[in-house]
Amino acid sequence: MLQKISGSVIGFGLLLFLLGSTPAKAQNATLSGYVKDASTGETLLGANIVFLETMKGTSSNNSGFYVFPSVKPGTYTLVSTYVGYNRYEQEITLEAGDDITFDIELVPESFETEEVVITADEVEQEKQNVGRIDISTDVIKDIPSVFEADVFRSIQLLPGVKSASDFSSGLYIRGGGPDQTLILLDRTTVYNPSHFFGFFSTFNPSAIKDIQLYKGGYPAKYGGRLGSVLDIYNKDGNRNRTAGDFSLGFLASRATIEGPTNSGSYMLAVRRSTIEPILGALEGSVDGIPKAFYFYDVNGKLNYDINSDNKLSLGFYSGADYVRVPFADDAQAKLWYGNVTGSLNWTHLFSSKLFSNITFTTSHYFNEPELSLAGTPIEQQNTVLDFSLRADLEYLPSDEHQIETGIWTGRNLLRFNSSFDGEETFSSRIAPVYVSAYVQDTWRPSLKWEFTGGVLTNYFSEGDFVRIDPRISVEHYLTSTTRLQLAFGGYSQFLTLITNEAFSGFDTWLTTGEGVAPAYGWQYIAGLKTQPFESYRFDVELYYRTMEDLFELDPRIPDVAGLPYSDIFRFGEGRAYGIELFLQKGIGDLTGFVGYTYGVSERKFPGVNVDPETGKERYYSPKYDRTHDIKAALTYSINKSWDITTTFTYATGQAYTLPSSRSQLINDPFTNDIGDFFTVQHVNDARLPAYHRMDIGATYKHSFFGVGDAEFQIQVINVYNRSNVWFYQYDFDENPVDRNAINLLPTIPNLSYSVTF
Amino acid sequence: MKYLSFLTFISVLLWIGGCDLTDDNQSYVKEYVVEAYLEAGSNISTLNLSTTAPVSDLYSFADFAVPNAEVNVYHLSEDGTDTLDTIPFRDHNSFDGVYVPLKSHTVQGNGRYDLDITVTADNNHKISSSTFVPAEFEILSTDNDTVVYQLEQFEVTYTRSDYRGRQNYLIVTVVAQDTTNYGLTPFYADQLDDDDVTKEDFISNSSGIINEGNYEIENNTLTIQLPWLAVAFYGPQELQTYTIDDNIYDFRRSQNTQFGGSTLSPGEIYDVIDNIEGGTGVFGSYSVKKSNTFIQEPSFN
Repeated sequence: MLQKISGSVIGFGLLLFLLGSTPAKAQNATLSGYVKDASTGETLLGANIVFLETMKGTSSNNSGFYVFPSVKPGTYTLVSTYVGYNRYEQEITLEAGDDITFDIELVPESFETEEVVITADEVEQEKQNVGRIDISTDVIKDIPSVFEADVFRSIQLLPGVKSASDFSSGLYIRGGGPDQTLILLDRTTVYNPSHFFGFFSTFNPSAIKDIQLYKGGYPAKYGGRLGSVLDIYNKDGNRNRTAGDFSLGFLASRATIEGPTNSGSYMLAVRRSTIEPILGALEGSVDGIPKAFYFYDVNGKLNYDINSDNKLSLGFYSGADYVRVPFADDAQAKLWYGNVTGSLNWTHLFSSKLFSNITFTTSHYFNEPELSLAGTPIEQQNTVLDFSLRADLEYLPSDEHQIETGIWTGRNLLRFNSSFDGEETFSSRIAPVYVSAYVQDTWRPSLKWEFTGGVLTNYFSEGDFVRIDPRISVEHYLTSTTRLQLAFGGYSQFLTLITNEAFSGFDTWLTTGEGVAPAYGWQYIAGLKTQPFESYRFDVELYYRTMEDLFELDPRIPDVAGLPYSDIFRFGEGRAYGIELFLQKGIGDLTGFVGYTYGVSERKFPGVNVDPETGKERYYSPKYDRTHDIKAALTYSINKSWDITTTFTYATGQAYTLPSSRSQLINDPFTNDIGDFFTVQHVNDARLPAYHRMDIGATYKHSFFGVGDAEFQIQVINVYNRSNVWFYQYDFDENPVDRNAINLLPTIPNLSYSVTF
Repeated sequence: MKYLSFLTFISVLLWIGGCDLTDDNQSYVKEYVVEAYLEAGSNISTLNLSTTAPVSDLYSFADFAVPNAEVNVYHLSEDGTDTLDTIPFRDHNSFDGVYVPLKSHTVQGNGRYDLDITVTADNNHKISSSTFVPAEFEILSTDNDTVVYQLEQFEVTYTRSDYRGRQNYLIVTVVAQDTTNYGLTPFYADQLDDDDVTKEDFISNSSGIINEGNYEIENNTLTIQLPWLAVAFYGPQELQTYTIDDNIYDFRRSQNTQFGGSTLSPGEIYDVIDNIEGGTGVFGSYSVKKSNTFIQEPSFN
């Protein structure tokens, strides 16, 4: 074991070496502090801070902390910017040997609506690393959505991110499936972040402070997934006054309250379905209406500042969905699934140059479907328990180096049981221990160059696997507003998800094990980020990634009972490549973004898509692959009271299999049925009709009886009622066989009313 | 002006959206289709030979039947080196594409059988396959002659044997013996509300493939409880328990995923696994045992 985590030890050794080898520059000053929202006291993550005179800059970390470790004495103009906030400028004088703590408070733009503030291009440039994109919760709330504002639905509008269908909030990023994205809430892994069986995500937009999406090339501090990372942070709570909001919607309503405590803050956000009365009214007149249905989620956070150097934060999330549907005499389906997560975070400043975060996390995901058919119960219980401890250190010995290191260790407990007619048919209990450790150094030899090198070492006890993943990135300023970025990295994955794009309520996680090696892949990314005009941002990224040793439940195994663990999987490979263009306008009456993606994703599995001539497997596209897509999300502010928001998506139709012929088996000895079947020459070689959809929403902002601000939203989904095809279904009761198009969402209106006080 | 540029942009997007790009021009590829099932302990039966049809064409077996082929089945030693018997087939007198054995042959459990077809009309196209027949097994006991629906349990105990180093794959079929005098159980009766469903659809109810690993095995015997889901009618029933060979297992499991119900995305259809060279379909074998019971409608008085 010790030998196997030698990479981690080497990492820590490297850190110690660097700590010891960096000369102190006593003649210089140190400036550090937190970047906060002036109105709420919330820390702001990823805010840019720059000394205007030298253009030396940094950004706040995921705790909102920033530091300039070595500043020559003098008087400077400190500038800070953050999307949605007014530019901050403050003159500051630093003496030799100073170690000053200076918190920066940014004023939200909405507080000064008369004043349009244009941020300096070069300052705004600091923020986005390669592969990374941030999305504002205000944008999420404004984007037209089916029933409920949703984080994942909004993310699906970004270039490089695709959806499986209108019914799925699953994230398919740069050619990877949903299990290739690590989803974190307050540093805690969330295993099935969906409500309404996948229709939208569990994250309540009212509770969220910050959303960071790494579409690829993510840094060494993250691991365990082949593709991407979605790092979400809940609000800490308003530190200045008690505040809150509530929102009434068709499907669900939500309420949030937050405020200060003696030495910190609290936040509590609750959301619950409110569609039950509508379902009750439809029961009896419409088939398939559930007898019982609800979902809920609760987000909470409690912060306690022990002193200026020690801060504690306790966060939790609990959410679940329940449905019971009798669908025939003596037949009923029930499903109960959800997540509970908790995190206890301790932020400690050893000094202004050495910052630490220690987090204990727990995550519990469960799903328990039950089907009863003609007195025959069919039941399943799936549980994932994850207890982990992670510790991260950030050390800035000088302006040139930023060293990060950490360890993340924990234990999973994955249980999967199924039974048929009261008899257990499958039982699995796996309790792997995982340990990962990383070290990373960001070296800025000049204002124009930044090199980041890191390594992540992973140990996974189930199968006794050790993987070492290197991560390298380079950034170069071609001009003051144009950056070239290159990144390369290795990524490993020890889990796989059994899921269905139409229904996520049964999602089941499985791990590596005996005969089941971890999947791994390499990512190569090149990006160009520019600000061609004031308030405009234009990004281009190219990516190529490989996926080796992919393991997933073999879809053609009818029954896993009694099979060796490795026999229930199929093992394959994949590759994905593409280019993404992203144009964003952040300021003015018209804001929003337009993105274009050219992307290809391919898979190869034994016995699938075999070339009849050579007998060898060929690559094929997964269904969610769309070669081209154009997406736009635009908001036009007509006046102080009215905003109009529209989103539009145009995409190549998804891949599907066009059978090459059909036949029948007519002498089946086991049943009366005729055995229709297709022969297939090429898997997923055809394309559904192009997908396009426009959603429009209008928001009317007004005062709520003088005690708060209110918003009335009216939205129309699929405004021109495009009949987008989800898939084709074949009806063999007809001769010739009838191919029916199963369509996605028709036109759907949506109303909501929100009050903030 | 700002309104105009906004509307112009939206119009451009709508125009782009109006263009559909679709590629569904995959051409028909003809394949020969074999259908033959060898039952251990029974006389070798007929074999069907046809071709596949274009997906959009009217289909009937007769229209795509392939007559006048040379068909032979060989009973071989397990290692395939010795031919123990040769069973030639000839065209059926009345039905094209149906081939009948020219001699009687009792299919041997644990035996190996090879198929060899030559389609002389198609440049002597060759079709071949091989099956290993599951061993025969015995019913040791049945617990009740009559059981009350959903209140009692019907169990059958069988002897078991390995099949080529793997567990047995089973199919359990319940065949209602009297659908005139006995009605449907509630779940199936409710299905008749669907216009396309008739009572006859439920006479024979098959379980799909069940792994032997689902059941407890003691002293090399296997006890199967009849799930109530399998019982569509009250009254007399025949319970048929099959153990199937790899060819039937592969074909049925791959055929079932073509029409949903698996973790595959809808519309992602894979070819069937047929284990046939030069064609597709099934050249398979099985062993079966049958038992009887009577399902009594419960009385709630």
